[in-house]
Amino acid sequence: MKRVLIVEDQADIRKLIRMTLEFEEYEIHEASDGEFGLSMARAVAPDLVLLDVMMPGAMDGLQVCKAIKSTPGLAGVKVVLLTARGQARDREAGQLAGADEYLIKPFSPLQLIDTIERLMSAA
Amino acid sequence: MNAFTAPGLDALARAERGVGRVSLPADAHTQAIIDAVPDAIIGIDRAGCITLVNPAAISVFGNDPLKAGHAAMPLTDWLPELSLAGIAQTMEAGLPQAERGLSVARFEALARRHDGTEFTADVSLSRVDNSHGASYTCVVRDITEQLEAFALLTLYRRALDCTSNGVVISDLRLPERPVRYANLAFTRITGFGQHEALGRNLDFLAAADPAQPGLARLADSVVQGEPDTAVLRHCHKDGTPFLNEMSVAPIFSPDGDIDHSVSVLQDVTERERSRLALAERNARLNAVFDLSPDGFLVFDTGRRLVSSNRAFLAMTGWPAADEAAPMSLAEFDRRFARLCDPACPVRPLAEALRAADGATDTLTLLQPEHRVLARSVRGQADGQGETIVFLRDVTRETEVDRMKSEFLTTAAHELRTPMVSVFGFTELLLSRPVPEARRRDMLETIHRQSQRLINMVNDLLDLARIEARQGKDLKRGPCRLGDLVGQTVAPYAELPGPARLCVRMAHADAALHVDAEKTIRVLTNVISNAFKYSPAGGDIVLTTLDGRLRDGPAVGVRISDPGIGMSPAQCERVFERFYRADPSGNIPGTGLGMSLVKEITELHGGRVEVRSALGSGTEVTLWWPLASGVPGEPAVQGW
Repeated sequence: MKRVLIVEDQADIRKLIRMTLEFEEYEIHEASDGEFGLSMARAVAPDLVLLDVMMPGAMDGLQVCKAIKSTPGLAGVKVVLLTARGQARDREAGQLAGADEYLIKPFSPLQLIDTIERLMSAA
Repeated sequence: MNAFTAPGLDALARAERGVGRVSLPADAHTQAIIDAVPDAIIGIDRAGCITLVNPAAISVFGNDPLKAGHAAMPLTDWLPELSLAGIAQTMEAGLPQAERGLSVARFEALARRHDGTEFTADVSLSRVDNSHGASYTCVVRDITEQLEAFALLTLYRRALDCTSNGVVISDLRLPERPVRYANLAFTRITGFGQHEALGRNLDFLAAADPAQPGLARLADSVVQGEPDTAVLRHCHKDGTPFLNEMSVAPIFSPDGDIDHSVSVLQDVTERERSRLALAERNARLNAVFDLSPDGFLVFDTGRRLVSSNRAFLAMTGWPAADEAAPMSLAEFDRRFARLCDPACPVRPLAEALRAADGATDTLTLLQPEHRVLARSVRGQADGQGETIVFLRDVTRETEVDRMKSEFLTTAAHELRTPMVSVFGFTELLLSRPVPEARRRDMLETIHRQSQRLINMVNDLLDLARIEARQGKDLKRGPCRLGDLVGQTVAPYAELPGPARLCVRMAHADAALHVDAEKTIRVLTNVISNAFKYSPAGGDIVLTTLDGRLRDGPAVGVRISDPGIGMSPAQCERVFERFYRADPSGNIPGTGLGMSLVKEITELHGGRVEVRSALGSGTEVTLWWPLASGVPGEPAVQGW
């Protein structure tokens, strides 16, 4: 079963993603901040990470993304950034950090499913 | 001389019959005088021809008409106007002195030398009547020099009368030092006629203020032989005061004594008035420059820094300029560059001056502290004339701009986050069948997040409205403090989380005259901050206090949290619009909550105090004036 890690500080958004993906065949893991998210990623080695960009704590989503992509063995992990920032500048920052996809909040749950499936099948 | 002349002339008259030198039987003494006088003596016969000359006549006219072998020469060769008819006419017009049969007339006449040159002569003509008829003798004196000297003297006088400066000569030999001469300009300046000044000491002009120090100083200087100048307060004849710049110089007699003084007067009232007006204007401009929060620099034509105001010194931390050694433009650029952020290179002033006039650019200083300055330069590209540099501190504007764009980013994030739930759960509910319990949970989430959105939009709109309306739309009424606090804290009672709210209400019955809804908003903002910034939990304590506001009784609500606190620098900016102590966005917020707290509380005549220490929590005290007057009536308050 494919593993999906949700790194998001808002509990309601984590719940939304969880419910969105509940009928799919995914093993779901959750983290509420960046540092915890990174250690979870290293611990569970997910196939895909849904990563909030603006989070409390020492690490924001971009830093977590970079750290995952540069961790040996995790370079193939797909990262989808979830962000409220949609400026071209912000997208560039996401690309620089190595993100595979960039979803702007508020996002459509159905679109999220499509995005995840597309990334998974490509892998 | 006259005593000798008469007999001499008698002798001449007697000799008239013959032709020849004056060689008469008269005494040798008379002959000697006639030969020695510098005036020309000429005898004429009844035909008008010269019959007699003395050596002076030969010398004055340059020829000897009696020289042997020459025909008789008419007097008109020497004195063209004195034909026989002219002589007769002159004698009649003149004042004949019937004295021993002698008539004398004295007049000026044109004389002509043998070489043709002419001169003005003083002529004394005498007629002797005898048996042969009338014969004449004339004495001729060249008065050219005398006339010239007189003309020069008149010229001096006319010149003095034409100058615009008053000129007065005083006699220092008399104790009163009276005025001996005053020109026309003196009258024009003082209104006193020349005759009114003559014989008086010139200081009569200062009669209204005889103690002014300038008077004594000028008098002393002139006695010391020194010229001196003073501006004196004098009075015009009509009583109008005027400022008289008077220069006095001593006049030395040929043997070196100071016997007179010359004073030159000039009415400088207008000049002094303009000078004072200019000085006043300068003082005013200096004050403006000094008080101006903007920096001003003035470079002179030689491109040296001649003036810099206080604001500039404060901006740069430079000491006041040494006026004796003005800084060159190059040196200024070198020193200024040291203050600037190397990352934002500054165009040197020398270069900016060559560029278009009046252009404004922005400089970023790192020393003595971070500042952003807008620089405008006014001068001429060719470097002629003064150059003025104007520096405006735009640090704050730049900062506000930065905060605004930061706010927009933050606000976008804060507004989009609740929308994720609203939009996402709605889509899920629409796209798939959901069991009833789950459906209810999802709707509750949507509702809660919608409420969050509403609150945030309200904050933004309220702040904008308060700012625009300045409290005109407050709905004030009598309120019990206990009710306000009770309504505020109710939602926090069963809040899950590590922090807990403890309310210690001692002034529940305190009467306020406030807009209840907005006051609850204020309390809510402060309490929600206390929760937000106490992530580690602990007791958030609400207490009430007695106090005073502007000499009136007041009640305070103090909310203390054990949270993360703020540094003094953060604390200072806590009420700033859009300011967030934690800009990382880790703690949600719009940066508007405390701005609202302050705006609303102050519109109610209240006050907000914040004390905080990094790591040990924050204490916010809200003060409101107690409502006075009849319960239920609007309180009579200054606000």
